[in-house]
Amino acid sequence: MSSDPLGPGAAPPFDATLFEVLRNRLWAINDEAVDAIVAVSGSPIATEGNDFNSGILTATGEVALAGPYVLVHAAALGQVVRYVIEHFGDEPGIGPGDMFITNDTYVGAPHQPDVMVMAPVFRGDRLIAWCGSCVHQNDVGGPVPGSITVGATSIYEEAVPMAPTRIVESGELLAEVEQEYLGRSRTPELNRLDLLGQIEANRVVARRVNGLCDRYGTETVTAVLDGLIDRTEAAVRARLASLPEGRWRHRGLVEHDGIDDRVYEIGLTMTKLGDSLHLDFTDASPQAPALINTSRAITSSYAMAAVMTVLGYGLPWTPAAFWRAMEVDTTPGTIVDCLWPAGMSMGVTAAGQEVRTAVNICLSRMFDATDDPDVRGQILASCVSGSFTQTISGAFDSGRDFSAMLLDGLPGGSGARWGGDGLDTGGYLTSPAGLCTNIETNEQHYPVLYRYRRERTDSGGPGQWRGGVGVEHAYQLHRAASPVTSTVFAHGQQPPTAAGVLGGEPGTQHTGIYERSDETIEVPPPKQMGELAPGDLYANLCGGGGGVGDPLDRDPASVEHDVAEGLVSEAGAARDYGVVVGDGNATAALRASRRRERIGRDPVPPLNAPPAGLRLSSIVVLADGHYLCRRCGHDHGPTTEPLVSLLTVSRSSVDERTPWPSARPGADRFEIRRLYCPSCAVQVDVQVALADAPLLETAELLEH
Amino acid sequence: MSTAEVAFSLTPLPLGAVRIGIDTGGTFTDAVVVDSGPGEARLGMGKALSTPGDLTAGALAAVEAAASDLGQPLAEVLKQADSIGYATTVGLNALLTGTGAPIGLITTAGFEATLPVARAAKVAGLSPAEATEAVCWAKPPLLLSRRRIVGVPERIDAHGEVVLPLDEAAAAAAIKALRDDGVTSYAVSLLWSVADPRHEIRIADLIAEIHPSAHVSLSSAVPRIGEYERTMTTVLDAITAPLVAEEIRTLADALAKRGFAGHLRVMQSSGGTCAVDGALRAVETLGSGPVAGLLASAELVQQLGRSEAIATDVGGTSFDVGLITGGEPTMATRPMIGRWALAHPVVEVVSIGTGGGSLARIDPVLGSLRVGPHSAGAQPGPACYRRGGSAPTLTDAAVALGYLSGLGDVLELDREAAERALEDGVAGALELSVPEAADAVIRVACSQMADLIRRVTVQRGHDPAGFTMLAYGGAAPQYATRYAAEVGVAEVVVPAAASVFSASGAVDGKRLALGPVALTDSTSEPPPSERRSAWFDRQFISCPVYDGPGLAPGTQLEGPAFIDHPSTTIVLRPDDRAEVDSQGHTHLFPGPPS
Repeated sequence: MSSDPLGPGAAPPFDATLFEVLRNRLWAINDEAVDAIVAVSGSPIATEGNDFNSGILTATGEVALAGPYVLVHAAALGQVVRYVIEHFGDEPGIGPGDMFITNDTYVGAPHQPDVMVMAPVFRGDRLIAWCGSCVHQNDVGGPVPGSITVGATSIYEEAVPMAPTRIVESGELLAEVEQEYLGRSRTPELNRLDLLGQIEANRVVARRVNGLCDRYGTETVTAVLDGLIDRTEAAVRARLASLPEGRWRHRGLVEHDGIDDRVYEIGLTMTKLGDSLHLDFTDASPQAPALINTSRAITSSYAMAAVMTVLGYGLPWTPAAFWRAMEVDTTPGTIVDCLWPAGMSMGVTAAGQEVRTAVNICLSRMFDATDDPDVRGQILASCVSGSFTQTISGAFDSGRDFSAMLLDGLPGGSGARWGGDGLDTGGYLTSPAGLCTNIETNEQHYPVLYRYRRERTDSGGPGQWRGGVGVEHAYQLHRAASPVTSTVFAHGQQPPTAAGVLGGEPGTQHTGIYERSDETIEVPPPKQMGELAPGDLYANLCGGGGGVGDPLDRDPASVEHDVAEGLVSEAGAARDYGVVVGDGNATAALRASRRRERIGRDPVPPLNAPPAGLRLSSIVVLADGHYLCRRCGHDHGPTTEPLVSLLTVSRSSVDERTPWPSARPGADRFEIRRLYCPSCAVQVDVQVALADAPLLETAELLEH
Repeated sequence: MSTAEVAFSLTPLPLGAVRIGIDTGGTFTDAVVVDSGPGEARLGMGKALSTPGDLTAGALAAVEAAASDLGQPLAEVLKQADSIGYATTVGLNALLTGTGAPIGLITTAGFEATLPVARAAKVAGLSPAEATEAVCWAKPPLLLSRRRIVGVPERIDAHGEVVLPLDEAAAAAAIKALRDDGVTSYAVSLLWSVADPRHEIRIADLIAEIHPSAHVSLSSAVPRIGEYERTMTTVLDAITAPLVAEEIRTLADALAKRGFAGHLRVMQSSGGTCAVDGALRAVETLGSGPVAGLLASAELVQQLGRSEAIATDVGGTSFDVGLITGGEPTMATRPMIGRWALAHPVVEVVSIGTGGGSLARIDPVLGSLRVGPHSAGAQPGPACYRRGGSAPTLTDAAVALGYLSGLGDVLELDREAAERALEDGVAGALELSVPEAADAVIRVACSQMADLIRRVTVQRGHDPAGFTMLAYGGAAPQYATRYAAEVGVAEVVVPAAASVFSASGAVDGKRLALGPVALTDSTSEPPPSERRSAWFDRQFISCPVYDGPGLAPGTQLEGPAFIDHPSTTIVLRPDDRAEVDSQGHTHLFPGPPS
């Protein structure tokens, strides 16, 4: 047992046993905080969908541990605490028993419905750590129920955020601040339950951490928090150092800003040099008026969550360790670094998702530049990005009001991995524990009757390994008083957003569809406040995940299995994979003709072993200043030229696999570019872009 | 198994009543025979190897061993017995090995994807290591091909009103198609069958007409809203029901042939038992073994005159915790078996992967000493088993410190092998001596166990310090005072029947109806049977070893000491105390945390 000076002392030497004991104990304390929130939460989205998170931070606001729920929340905790330290630390000061609340998206709250309550952990009068949580609320005010305003021209027309504010002072809940927060909401009783749960969670952490200090000494406990970060950081940096030096690129697209059907681009150039990662998002479109933006803080949180999930395999998920090893650049005034008074009430499912996808894809391309099978086994295509979210509000025939955000867009497809298909209806990468609701739960709470919940055939991105298929739902009003307001929100309706890698195809686009009672079909734009009347049917078709590798390389037996399971249609098998079900010879012939079509001549056969050289990807090596095809040995040309300029390119419209993108004007703004080896016809890359945008040079090796 | 008779006080059970409890596990089958008269009630305990593919043989052998423990032949005990309670693992084994019945699922048209979607769950039930590696995420195993999930047009709404009548022709066609595809067992799960089961019942009638030999499981048997969990439960039931029914039938026949004319009842994971008839749902037998342990705990807690207890079981690969509050086991809020969600009430047993076989290693990133969740399993097992294992485990740590020398009469443990494994795997890297490293391994393991106990109690608003702890299963008594002290528990009870404790929980009805347990004032301290050098407080000291079954009621012992039982060893650290009560249970009073 250690003595316990209240003042700072020297950190004790590392003790492998005690470190493990305390590490486990801190995790158990954070779990206890989660239990405290869930026990009282008034938010069904939070408790049924696991839309929350909780973490423990160092005294300087670095997140040492956080739960497996919404990982973006975990990163956000650190940004909010550092803001509080900076703005309250010296004047007016932070004291024992204080807590701070915010839903300020400019500070770090992912969007306004995500309410964060943070607390310092004091030992006597010394601040030794922080803790806090983030919980999605049903409503935090603003013009419309649910607090997400399609058509807002600025943040003034959304829920105006509450900057970090002291809501508990020396243990006392400040009634006027509580009122200021709850008074904005249409669901104050429910928000109050969550607030009390979050406050109690912070008290639990403070009490338990002090208990640990009593027993083991303050310096020992804080050394474990620091040690978790330092030691994980060292491993993250060592992993980065072992990976190739280079630069990788991706461009994400978000169409429609809630007012105009404009297209916003989010370009990422990821540079890996030495033991750190530089994520350059400066090449992004100017900010939108509202709704779809992310602040620099949210962009950084999404980037961190993606880095931790994809690069952090097998490492402790210590958010601050990843945060330290990466650097994010943005240009103020862009969609990923918006400036006041730009709104961002749904930036989490717009720009935020494209940030995640861009990081995910660039990391996978980097993994593809190594020969290490363990690293290559972590290659992952993008999961669904931007599927249709819907809020409905109105009244039951009994007169009772209701308002709901349906989670039916959550089970989109997951990305394929190297060596395996993506999870069908597996949902988002950065919310591992996210769940959709049961149909019966929705029908119990809202005046709806579902017609189906299905796996969406042919929606997974084709590839040697297939992306997971997405879900599709349809429902009608049932026992509703009258038409209800239906607000839909998405992107990726026209351009496919769930990117594939290594020549894999993107997952199919999503859409919402109204089938009116007079049998007319309406395809809403990806942001719309509309109406659903009794007798109408609303269908939500959710996109699939991206594929990995050339689809013509997929084992025909796997394609036939997918057809038998209904995940791929016979027509899709032929179109996407060149497989004629039940006929191996016909498959071989069809695949040969597909390869011929790609390059306009008979392809050369593959080599037995790839040519020597510096590996750029599984398909290209660099040797003597030239790009060589790893499959057939073809010399593409000198590395002084961009590789994309040396490959065969085919261009097609975005509705080749599903008709819905063309159901609305503007589909011709986009195109899909496929890049092939001009000699063996292997598919090297698939790019989705604005039709007038240049080809993207996606991979480049650098000298260190 | 050596004789260990325990005297029970007289009970209101009918004179001459004999009751039997059997718990079949993957490796061993345990049995107890309770003979409540005339005269003093007696408990016989037996253990036998489970016979793969013939669980009846293991069950009979275990009962025979328990009978002989009471000095009686099997036939005599069976003739006298008026009930047998049976906890079976056959259903769970079938699931884990994919050997269940070929099933079909009939559901509401349009909702065939309920199971494949699985509410998008991809990390629930994964180990922490898998959960933090995105390429390891997976849906719960689907258990049947989508081709055998058939939707039929019908719809009932949340109010139980028929929105679309059942298309009987489509249902009949679905049944025929599944039958022709080789299905022998049907799960029928329709939306809102909880509000009105009429369509499910009609489909069951159709199956009875079209495919009379097939088994049928209906989701309306599980009265819970939420189609995913209810469908999952129904499918699990359909897969396991034919095997469970066959096993029960075989056992019942074998018992009857040997003269048993009483009631055979089957343990359920809800904590009850069910007669062997149409009401038995196989899915409710899944995971009933650990639940039987909790029922035995509840019974023991009642005998002790308490109502709040923490039941702890340290096995080879896991540490299991259950809570008893108000005298009853608590139920799980989100019940699962393996990675499959369940919809019926299940007694809560929470586990972590810390057990005797848990591997100790240095974390390559954090540099800290990790114990579990990876396990050496039964094969190759801990290094000290000398079956080819060379990586250090928790059991190796206990052996290296001198806490254990053998597993009853079953296995001699190789202390040198344990020391070598610890030296190579842990001690060298940490620059510690072997005993220091072994002590560190036990410390980490016990702290993980204490974390789980805190979580389980605090989650339900309790302070563990106010609870009595029970420790059973092969290894719990080795570590119990250590993890109990860690959470502030003042008293740990190691039941007399610790090694067959779950089987005693399977004994039917108010199982033993025993009188109170008394701690007497005797201060008798018997001579130790031997002395053992063991590591406590940073040094090896010579400690007395007592023969557990030979200890008289009232015996009081002080640590450091060991109490050897046929299949477990109680470790008393310095400052721990022990006392044997009038029923042969050992009460441990932990000293301060280590």
